Amino acid sequence: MSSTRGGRRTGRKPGIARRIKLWVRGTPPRRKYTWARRALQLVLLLLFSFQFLVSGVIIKGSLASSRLFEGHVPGLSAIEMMDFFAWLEQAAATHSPSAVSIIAVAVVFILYMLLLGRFFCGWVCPMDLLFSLFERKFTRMNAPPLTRPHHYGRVEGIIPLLLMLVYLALSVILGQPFFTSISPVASTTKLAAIIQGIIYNIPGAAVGLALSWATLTGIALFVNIIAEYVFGVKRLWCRFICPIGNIYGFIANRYSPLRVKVVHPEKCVKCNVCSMACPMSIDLVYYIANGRDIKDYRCLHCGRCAEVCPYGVLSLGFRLPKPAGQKTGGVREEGYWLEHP
Amino acid sequence: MALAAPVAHMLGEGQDENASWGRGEDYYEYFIVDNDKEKLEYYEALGVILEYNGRKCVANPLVPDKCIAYTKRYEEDRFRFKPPAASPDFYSRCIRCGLCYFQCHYMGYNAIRLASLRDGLKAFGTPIIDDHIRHPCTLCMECTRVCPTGALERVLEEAKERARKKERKQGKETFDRTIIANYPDLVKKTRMGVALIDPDLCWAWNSGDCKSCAKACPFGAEVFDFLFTPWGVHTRVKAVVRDDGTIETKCVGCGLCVAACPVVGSAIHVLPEEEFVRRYRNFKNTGMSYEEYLKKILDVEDHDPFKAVLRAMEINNVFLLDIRGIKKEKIKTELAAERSLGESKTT
Ligand code: SF4
Ligand code: SF4
Ligand code: SF4
Ligand code: SF4
Ligand code: SF4
Repeated sequence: MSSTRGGRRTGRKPGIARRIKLWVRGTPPRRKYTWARRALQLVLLLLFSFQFLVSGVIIKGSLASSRLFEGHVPGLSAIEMMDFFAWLEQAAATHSPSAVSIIAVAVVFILYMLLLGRFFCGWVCPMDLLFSLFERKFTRMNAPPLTRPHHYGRVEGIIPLLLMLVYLALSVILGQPFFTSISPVASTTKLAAIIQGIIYNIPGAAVGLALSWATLTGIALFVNIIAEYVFGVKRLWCRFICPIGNIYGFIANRYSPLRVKVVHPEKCVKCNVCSMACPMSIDLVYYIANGRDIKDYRCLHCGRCAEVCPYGVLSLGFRLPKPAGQKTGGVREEGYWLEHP
Repeated sequence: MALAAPVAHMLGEGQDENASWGRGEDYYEYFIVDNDKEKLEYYEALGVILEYNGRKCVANPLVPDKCIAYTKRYEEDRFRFKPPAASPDFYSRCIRCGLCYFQCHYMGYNAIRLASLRDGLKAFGTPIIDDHIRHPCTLCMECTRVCPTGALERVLEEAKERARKKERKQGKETFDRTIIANYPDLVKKTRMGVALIDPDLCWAWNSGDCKSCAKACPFGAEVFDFLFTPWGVHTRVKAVVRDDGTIETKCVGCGLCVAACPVVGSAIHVLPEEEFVRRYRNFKNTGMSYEEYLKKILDVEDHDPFKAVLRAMEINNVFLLDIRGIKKEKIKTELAAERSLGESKTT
């Protein structure tokens, strides 16, 4: 591997310090969106994990259900939140939607379903943070088919939906919320239970608990890593298995005001840098060439594509849905993505 | 459920949601005197030694052909309970969010722990209360308040609502958690288990004057009954088992009494309802119901002082003080009790 310094190729392997620096900087360099969302993910994870230090007044619970600012919200005991898919599974398991949780789930519904789309995955979920530590940040266009940026086919697009139905069916059969019970997303944010268990010597099982949750998170991570490095499927977990993000993706990403906007399609030179940087293997040039905003169900609204584009073609922000048929501009060039085998 | 069972089985113990931590079927231990020559000779002289599995044990004066049995220590006879007011379809409703667990911790009680995989796939992630001695539930009902799904029902709010309607109370409310006891249906909803006192281990059934459990109980005399006799302040939990297996009692099984009992390993244990009915109907495998067993004790105390002394002073107290021990610091008021403890074993 050679590196570039001062515009010249040095022909030598970079030193360890420089490699760390490069790793932190990212290639292409990380900019505001990535740093902002990493900060948000980390802060949320820390708030969840050390909630007991402030008796849970800031945040309490886990990503399955949480309470914000207990006792400090005028007129309410707290801002309640409950995961939408957990609510669906619970409805399936009890054969009727629960009325008790209606406010909690409404908050989440408005936030993600109506406003932010799959923002949850890119900015809140600790698993995204964890996965990103071990995955390739930049995918070449000649990588294996499911790794390289591509537009999803019919089969690929239906698998997550089918899995969601399977989870709901299993919830009915087993009589308990299936995915929610074993979800590593909620488990990881329940880290506080383990820390508390050790510090305060709470009855039993702090170790058992730690092992159980490490197992769940570990399985998700393991599956994801094996899929990427052995089978060449990038982000298997988030693209296919996890229903929490996919349900926002399939429903909300189609119309959510927060989206990756194609603001200057005429400036795009089809360098594919955005596509190659996308953690979810989305072929952005397909959208740019079609002059559409990115409404792909896979899009995490992470803004990586926007920040790596050298020409400012894309931007992450709010835009209300355009009337059908109206395009942002730009020319479609049939088959250009087939040029990259 | 059908599919989960084999998987849960593979994952080890505890598929039964109320499975005991105790080993095996036998929740009683016997007064074995094999290794204690002094006691063996003493009880042989009194003629109360029986053979049990090739070992020598002390007989029960009430049932002379049976060894006297004591409820095992709490650590070997504890059960997993769901938090108070768990709805009938608890496992379908609970989304394993942990809010109840965190809330219990912030209240400072730490009664709840979250189930790990060892507790079975079904229970995994749900709240469990299973350490009454160190961390009993105080019935603060905060966990039911924060539960987002109705897996824990808000019975305290319900009770307050009803009380407010009845008393037309306005403004700041003064109701506390014990108003739940006014509404039998809410008590039934809240119930985790029912407490059962072992009269052979209980200090108050063996010449003492203790009442620690009744003092600790949030419902006090609504749940406990006392009979003042020369043989101690006989204390019992008011509970009646009907023929159809339902239990009529105001005890909700919080476990505060278990924590308060000065006998090491506690003479009062909270049992799941089925287990309570089982032990109630055939107490200590004597064929007598709990009720009959207590009656028999009172009967003996009234009509057979020698047997009563033998039972209380010579056998039960020896077991209580020498083998189990009594936690002196848990007995708050009774001078007499403290005096009578003398130089006996205290832990
Ligand atoms: S798909 Fe699931 S695991 Fe992946 S980032 Fe979204 S919520 Fe997290
Ligand atoms: S399309 Fe852009 S914002 Fe969406 S996941 Fe890919 S890089 Fe992130
Ligand atoms: S009612 Fe019991 S289990 Fe619930 S928070 Fe209070 S002490 Fe904990
Ligand atoms: S708060 Fe309710 S839903 Fe959450 S873990 Fe406890 S019982 Fe389950
Ligand atoms: S008798 Fe014991 S378990 Fe029952 S309510 Fe009273 S303190 Fe709680």
